Amino acid sequence: MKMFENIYNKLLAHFSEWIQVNDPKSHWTLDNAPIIKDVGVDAEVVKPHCVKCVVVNQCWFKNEKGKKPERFDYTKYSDKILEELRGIDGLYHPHCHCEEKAIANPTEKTLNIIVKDDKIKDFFDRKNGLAISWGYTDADKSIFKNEFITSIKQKYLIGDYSIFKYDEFGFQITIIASVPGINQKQGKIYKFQTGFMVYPNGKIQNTTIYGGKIK
Amino acid sequence: MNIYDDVRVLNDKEEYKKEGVFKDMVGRIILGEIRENSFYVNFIDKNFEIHKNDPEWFEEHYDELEDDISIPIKIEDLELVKKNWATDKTILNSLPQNNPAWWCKVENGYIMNLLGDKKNKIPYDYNS
Repeated sequence: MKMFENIYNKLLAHFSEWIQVNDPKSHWTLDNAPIIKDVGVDAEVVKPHCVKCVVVNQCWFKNEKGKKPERFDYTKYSDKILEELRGIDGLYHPHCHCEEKAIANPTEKTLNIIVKDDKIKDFFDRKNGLAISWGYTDADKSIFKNEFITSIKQKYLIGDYSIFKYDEFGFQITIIASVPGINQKQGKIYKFQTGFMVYPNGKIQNTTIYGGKIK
Repeated sequence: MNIYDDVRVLNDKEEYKKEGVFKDMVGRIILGEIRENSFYVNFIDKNFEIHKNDPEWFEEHYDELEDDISIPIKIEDLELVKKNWATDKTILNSLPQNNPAWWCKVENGYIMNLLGDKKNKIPYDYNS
């Protein structure tokens, strides 16, 4: 069985376009709430693992520069420093345990896109004029949500996203959503930037519906 | 102060300035959890508020809209401007794994979770 597993992994590494960040020494991920009462500071609880590695642990990324965490650039260091770092020259920083493991390309079944009704409410609450200009009234929130999710699914499955921000809150990506106009705006397509946080095992969760126009 | 509340930035800091966020700007908290004593705050173009009932303005001036800015802001640098519609259930739904132990709101100078625990010992001293 081990032999078949090895062959499968080799084929996957060759043909797959996606990777999963995996720290075999850490069970902490963005999803399992690294908090302890009266401590509460992520960095203290997850030690010796760094927060930025914890927030991408078990997450899926397209295996391309600009679509996954940046590898640590060891080329800018002197030979003397590199000698000291030998053996501890991790992927994302010295002492980093993370690995990039090839995974099967995500499908509609394995992908989990979370767009909470709160975010739709927040969009219609604060950006009401824009929503109406696309033909969507308050009564059309669920139609908008469905169109939005359909659009995100199409884009994300082909890895059509860019890095927005990578900090202690997590790895955030920007996707260009394309939502059709409705009612008096039927026939038009509206494109805009939207933000998602990447969670472990194929989950992405919307942080903001409309983040900006297309440049 | 919690998710979906409107908050004002009280202090200028280099890390905020470089992202385009300055003292007195008003934004909205868009993530439920508090991490590293910070809320994640979203700032939008003022025209969204000014022209909220004028969809024609957005058709004509769409290209002029500034993109949102979303960054972590330390709690000590925030004050509540407007309490909005989020209930404890909304907050819980927004937390990682819906874990009520996450620090997620600020009340009377205390960082709190949904179990009623207080993180800081001295009110308004969020590092105590």
